[in-house]
Amino acid sequence: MTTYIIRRCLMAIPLLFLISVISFGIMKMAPGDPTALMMDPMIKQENLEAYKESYGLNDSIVVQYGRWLGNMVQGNFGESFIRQGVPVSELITARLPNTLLLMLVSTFIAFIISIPLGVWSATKRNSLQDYAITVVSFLGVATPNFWIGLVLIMVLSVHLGWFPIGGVATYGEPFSIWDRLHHLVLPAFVLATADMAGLTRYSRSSMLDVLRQDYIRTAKANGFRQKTVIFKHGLRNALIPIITIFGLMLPSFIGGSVIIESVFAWPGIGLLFMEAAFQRDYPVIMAVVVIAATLVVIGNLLADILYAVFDPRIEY
Amino acid sequence: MNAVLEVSNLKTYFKKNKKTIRAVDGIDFEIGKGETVALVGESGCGKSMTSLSIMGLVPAPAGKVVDGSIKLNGVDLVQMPEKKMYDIRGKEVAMIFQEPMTSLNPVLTIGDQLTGVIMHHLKVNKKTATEKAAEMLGIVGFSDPLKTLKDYPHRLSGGMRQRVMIAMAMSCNPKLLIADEPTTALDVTIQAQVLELMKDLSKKFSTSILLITHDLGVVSELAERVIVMYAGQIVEISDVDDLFEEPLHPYTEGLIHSIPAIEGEITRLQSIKGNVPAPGTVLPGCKFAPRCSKAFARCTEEVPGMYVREDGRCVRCFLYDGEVVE
Ligand SMILES: Nc1ncnc2c1ncn2[C@@H]1O[C@H](COP(=O)(O)OP(=O)(O)OP(=O)(O)O)[C@@H](O)[C@H]1O
Ligand SMILES: [Mg+2]
Repeated sequence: MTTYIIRRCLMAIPLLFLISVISFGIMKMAPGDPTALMMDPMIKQENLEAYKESYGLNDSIVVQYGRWLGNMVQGNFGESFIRQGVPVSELITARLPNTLLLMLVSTFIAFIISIPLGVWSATKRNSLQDYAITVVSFLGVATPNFWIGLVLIMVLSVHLGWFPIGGVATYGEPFSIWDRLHHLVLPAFVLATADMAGLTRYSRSSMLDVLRQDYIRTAKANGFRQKTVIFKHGLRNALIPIITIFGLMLPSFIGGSVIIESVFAWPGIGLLFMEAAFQRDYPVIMAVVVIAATLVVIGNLLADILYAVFDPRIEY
Repeated sequence: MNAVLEVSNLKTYFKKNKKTIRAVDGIDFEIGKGETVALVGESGCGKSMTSLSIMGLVPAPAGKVVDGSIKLNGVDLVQMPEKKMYDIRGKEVAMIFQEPMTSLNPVLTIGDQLTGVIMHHLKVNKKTATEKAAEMLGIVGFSDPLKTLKDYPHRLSGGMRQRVMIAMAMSCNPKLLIADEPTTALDVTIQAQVLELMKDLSKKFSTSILLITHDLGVVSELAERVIVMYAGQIVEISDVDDLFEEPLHPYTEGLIHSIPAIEGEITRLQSIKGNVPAPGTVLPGCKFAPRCSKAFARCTEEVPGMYVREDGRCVRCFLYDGEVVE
């Protein structure tokens, strides 16, 4: 198991390298550069050139990438172009916990709602509840979740005033768990909706598949009640393929969090990325990309480990 | 007679797209205490549906027992509410299936699965259940039961798993064991061992067995009486020796002639011409008539009833019209 984990981590290195190359290329190909936004439009051409020179923006893309990579492997993400003098690592450490919290809670919400719904739907196959859940799921798949976010903000926050409009905490108030939760619920739920529909459908079909298996028939032939058959003999088997989905969901989750953080003004790395992308703040963009890619790799590794925990047939 | 199981006029139908498929179409038979009865017939003739009807596990809502009774020690299982069936399945009537590879739960240990059943039916604590489970594994031939209890099914071979299934089925000392093609998926030597084991256990615990198979070799090995089914109906019931010596129904004869002889000269293997009528078709006469070499006019016009001969053998064929007692 340990050797497996080490091997997987080593395998991730070339992957991360490739991702960084591609992102760097795409970022540089996008029109505009940070100077366009930072500088006084009336600045003299030679001053601008001097500025560009000092940041190394005039070097070839290969040299620029090489410089970035060299620093990065030493754990140095450089300084932000826009917020001059602020190290990128400082920006990240301030924001990353917010994003991790949002994603964790959101994943939890997605699973805690979707799996029971899917299982329930499967055991009541072709009933009214099953059809209702199916219809809602399809609507959910078809609806972009930033739209759901905006609607919920309008209804629940603006009109009803039940939730804050955005942010992680009430400004100027001392820290309180309740205040944090109050701010967290809505964005976490909205982010969860992105995968909830698919996850519900998936749990349903996974459970249906399990209920057709011979060992379920054995359990019934042994006189176990429906509840025991489903929860003791079925559920664990049905969860195995859902773990894979968890791994596959992560990238879309991270992508979704960029949007949702913007909608809810949630100061995480998604929002940071959005700002940095508009301002062509290259060091920040690259740092977020690397971190996001690392999160995906870790998530998939976690999924594989969970796989072995749930399925005794799998040994690494 | 002290019959453990009495099935009378059992009808199990499937409804599919408004068509009715008569999977089991009015069958009657009995199984005595400690008796091993084989149920044979071609694929699709309703053997499994008969056994699932007894267990009350006919796949709902498409399938349903629509008529008849299934009495276990005089109590009708058809009328029994589902709640009470929980105490019958696995305790009074146990079942083992054809596919040992997939019939055990892959994520639970052998021990969990065995003790689960034992605790459920015998209402004992985990420790007693584990002891009982180990004892059963010993009986079915595991040399190190305590180790096997901790194993997951994927570590065992097919033959081993079928032994586990037998241990599980016998653990609550059922009155009737239904074995639906228990050895079909196993290779020949393992087959013989598993059959031997079932024979021993049924003697030891005086359990009645309903053995479903289409392997007549298995029948001659294990069964005392044979029920031959064709297209949802019983066409012949005979003692095993009589059946092989003098098959009555032309269909039975066909079945027996389609077994390759091991000794003696090599003759051409005969198979029965034609196919089982498609489920759902209704014929005016005998269902076997279109494939029967001895069919005559009456066979396609009238449905034959069950004729009971003087020696007690039953056959559904007009050829025996003259010999009827009843
Ligand atoms: N789920 C189902 N839906 C509709 N019809 C079914 C279903 N299951 C079985 N049947 C019908 O019931 C008939 C009897 O099936 P059954 O499984 O009892 O056959 P069998 O004698 O056990 O065959 P085999 O030797 O292949 O196991 C079949 O002809 C089939 O058409
Ligand atoms: Mg069958």
